[in-house]
Amino acid sequence: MPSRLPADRVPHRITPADLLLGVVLAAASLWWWSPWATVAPAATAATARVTVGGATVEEFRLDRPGVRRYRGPLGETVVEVGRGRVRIVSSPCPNGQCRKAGWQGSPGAAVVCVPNRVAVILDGRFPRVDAVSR
Amino acid sequence: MIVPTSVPSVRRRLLAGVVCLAALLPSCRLARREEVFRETRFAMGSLVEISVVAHDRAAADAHLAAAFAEIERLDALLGSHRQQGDIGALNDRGHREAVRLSAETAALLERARGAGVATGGAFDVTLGTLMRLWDFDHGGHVPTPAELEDARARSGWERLVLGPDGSASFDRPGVSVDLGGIGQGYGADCAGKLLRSRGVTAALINISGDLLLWGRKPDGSPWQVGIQHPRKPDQLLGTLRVDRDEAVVTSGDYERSFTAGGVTYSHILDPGTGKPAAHYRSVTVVAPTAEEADVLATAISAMGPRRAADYLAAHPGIGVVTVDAGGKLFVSPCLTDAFTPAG
Repeated sequence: MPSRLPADRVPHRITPADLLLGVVLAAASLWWWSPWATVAPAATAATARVTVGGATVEEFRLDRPGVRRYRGPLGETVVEVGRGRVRIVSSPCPNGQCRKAGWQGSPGAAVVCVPNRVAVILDGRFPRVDAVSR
Repeated sequence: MIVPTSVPSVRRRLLAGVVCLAALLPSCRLARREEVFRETRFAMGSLVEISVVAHDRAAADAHLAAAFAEIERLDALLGSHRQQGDIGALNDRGHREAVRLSAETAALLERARGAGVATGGAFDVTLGTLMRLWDFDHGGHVPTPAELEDARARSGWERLVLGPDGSASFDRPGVSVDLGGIGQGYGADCAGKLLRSRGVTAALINISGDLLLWGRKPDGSPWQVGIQHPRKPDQLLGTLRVDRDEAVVTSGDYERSFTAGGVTYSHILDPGTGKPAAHYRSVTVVAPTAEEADVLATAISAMGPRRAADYLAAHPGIGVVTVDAGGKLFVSPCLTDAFTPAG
């Protein structure tokens, strides 16, 4: 059986810890409601999203140079990743337009091999642009 | 264990209430927060990305599925590579009989022909034969003068005969419709119309760089559109703030081009000569609809600066950002506030 505390010993004052908790919660709530809550940057590194046939197959950061390979209906598309940019170096398409597009580095831009259904779309958590008109 | 037996004070109840309210506020925010949801597919011979602003994933998925279904419907209806499509059937049989089209296709061709008249022939929906001759999609072919003359005789908006019953035909063999300068814009408009009818208040439809945008992003800011630099593939020419519901379409000589004998040939053909137009490196048009922007980006590219200036003076609601053959940038006065050149 728990013991009972005498009425004159019940703590009823707001302690500094109570106040601190209230202030922290109120501040967190106000921040959550503020317009900055949706735009505050949390990450700056650009990323690339790769789709094959429209389905996203991979996402990777653009700060790690290298070569990546993706298999589409016509064969293999080879993508080179530079610092902050990408390009298609080979793809089994008849016109080679994807290779001619060269390096792309702007958030919202993309390198696309339409015949082989491979697209590498540049992105970022807070891109400067939402899409690129070309 | 010690258990308090008395009722907490008023101040303590008040504090408890504040704490509970504060804890609940974020969940209220979560319930009303909007996000951008997007999906990418291949359709209309290109990459299509649609972004919608919605409260939850399920609603966004339903909107996106409906929009892509609309684009795929148009792809089947208008696709020239499919025999069952209206344009495929017209190109296949239009030289020998009037081909009955869907009311939608007939209306689109009527507007395309009207655009040909309005732009003095700078926009031409019957360039299919010339486009095949140049063969931009398979490495390119520089036609001989005789080939070019023959193909030119089989193009021109006057070659397309539209009947009052929704049928269409050609006035001679070898004519072919190519919706390259209008089809994607029309597709974006149709998908946009459908999304609006479903209550989507903000979205971005991107069909191979032809953009239709409306509303604002979840943080209340306007959409920001980059314009591709025509000579530096990994750089932007500048950014455009889209304050209104608008379409942004760019036609550039760097797309679908090929080089032969040291000469680079652009896929943007001048209907007057049948050869690639060489007036501009890129033309970006901002217009109320994607169809209009699509048509005008192509037409202005073929017009050249003097005719384009006359046309734009007569159509002040159209904004353009152009880079001419010498690299000179021009921005319409109506876009100077919205356009920021790349640093």
